[in-house]
Amino acid sequence: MAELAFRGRGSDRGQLILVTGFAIAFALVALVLLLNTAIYTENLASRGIDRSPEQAVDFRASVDESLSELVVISNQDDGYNPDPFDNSVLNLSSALQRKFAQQGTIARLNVSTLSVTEGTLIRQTNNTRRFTNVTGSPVGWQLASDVKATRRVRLNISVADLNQTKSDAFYINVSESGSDFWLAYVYYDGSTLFVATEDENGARVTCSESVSTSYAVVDLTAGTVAGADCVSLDWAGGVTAPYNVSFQRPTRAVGTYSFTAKPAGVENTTNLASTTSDNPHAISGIYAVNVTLEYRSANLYYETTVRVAPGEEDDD
Amino acid sequence: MTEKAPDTRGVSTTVSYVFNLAIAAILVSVLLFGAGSIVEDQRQRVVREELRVVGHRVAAAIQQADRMALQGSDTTVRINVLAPESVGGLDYTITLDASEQQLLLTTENPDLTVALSIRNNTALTSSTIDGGSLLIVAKNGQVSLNTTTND
Repeated sequence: MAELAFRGRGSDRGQLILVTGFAIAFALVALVLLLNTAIYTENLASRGIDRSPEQAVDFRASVDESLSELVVISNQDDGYNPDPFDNSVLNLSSALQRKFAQQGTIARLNVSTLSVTEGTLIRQTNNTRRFTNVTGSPVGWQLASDVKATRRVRLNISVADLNQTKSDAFYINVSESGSDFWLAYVYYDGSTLFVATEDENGARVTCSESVSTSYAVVDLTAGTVAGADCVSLDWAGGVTAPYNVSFQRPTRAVGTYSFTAKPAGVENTTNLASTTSDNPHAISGIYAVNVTLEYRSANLYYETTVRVAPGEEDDD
Repeated sequence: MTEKAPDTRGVSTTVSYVFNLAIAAILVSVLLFGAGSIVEDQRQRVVREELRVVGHRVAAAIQQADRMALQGSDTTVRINVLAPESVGGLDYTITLDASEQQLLLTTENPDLTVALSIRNNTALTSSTIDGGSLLIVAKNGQVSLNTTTND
C-alpha cells in the first residue's frame, strides 16, 4: 500500500517543473524561429544581385555604338537623307529589341523621338588630288566660316607628297574673328610623320609617328597620328566658336579629307562644289542624333536620351 | 501502529516541502529568466542584422540608380527592391536623410536604428517609408524612395 500511495502521489508532483519545461521549450522554439529569419536574411544578402542594371547600361552602350556607326556610314554615302536614315534606325531598334527580348527584357528605341542635327559635310574623296579648292587654285582657301562645332576631322594623306620641314608645310588654320587661332602643320621627313600645332602664343604640341606606308591617317579630333594616340593633340584648342576653317599651302598635301561642321550651310560655296564628286565638295550631313531609349525588366525601368556625334571634340 | 509517531515528523515534512517549493521556484525563475534574455538578445541581434542587410540592399540600389541617372540626359530610373515587410517579427521604417547623406532603418520596441552612409552624386530627396518592397526613383537629378503601392 505504501508503495502504491507513493506512486500515486508521485504522479501528481512536478507540475511546476513541467510548466517550466514547456515555457523554456517555447522560448527555444521562438529562438529557432528567429534564427530562421536570420538565415533568410543572410540568404537575401548573399543572393545574386539583379543583373538588369548592367544590361540596361549595356543596351545604352549598344545604341550609342551602333548609332555612331550608322551616322558615319550615312555620311559616307550621300550625306543626310531622312528616309533611309530613319529606316536604318528602325531596323536597328528592332534588331536590338529582338536581342534583348531573348534575355526576357524589353529594350527599345523610341523612334518617334529621333531628332537629327544637320550639319555640313565637307570632303574630298580623290586620293591623288591636292588639297586645293574646287578650281585647283594653289593659294590658301577657306572651307567653312562661322562654324559652331566640328567633328571627325580626318585627313588621309600621301606622306611622300608632304613637305619635309615645318616651314612651307601644309597647315590647317582654325581662327576666330578675334586674334585667336589654331594651326596644325603636317609634314613628313622621309620616315616620320609630324603634326605640329601652334596658336597665337606660339607652339602647342608636336605629335610624330614613323610611317612606312604611302598613306597615313591623321585624325585631328580623335587625336591620332597614323593610328597612334597623341592625347595632347587638341582640335581648335584655345579657339572659341564660331570659327573659320581654312587650308594653307594646299599644294603641299595630297589625299582625301572629310569633316562635319555645325550648323548646316557654313561651307564656302565658291571654293567647294555642292554636289557629290571626287573633288572638294560640301553637302548636307548628319552632325548629331538624339534619341530616347527605354529599358524594362522585372525590377528596373530605365529611360534616357542618347546623343551621338561621332568624333566630336569632347566625345572620347 | 503500537507506537505513536513523534510530533516533530509533521513539522519536518512541512519544512522540507516549503524548502522544496522555494528551491524549485528559484531554479525555475532563473531558468526562465535566462531563456528569456537569451531569446531577447538574439532577437535584437537578428533584427539589427536584418536591418543592416535590407539597408545595404536599398543603399546599393540607390547608388545604382545614381550611377545610371548620371549618364545621358532626361534620364529616368526606377528600381524595384524586394525587402521583407518585417524583421524578426517587428515592423520597421526606412528613412532617406538627404542632409546627412544616410539611410536610417528603425524599429520600435526595442528601439533599434541602423545607419548607412550613401555616396551620391545626384541629389537625394528626404523621405520616410514603412518597411517592405520599395521603389527607388531617379528623375530630374533627384533620387527618392517610394513604396511600391504608390506607383
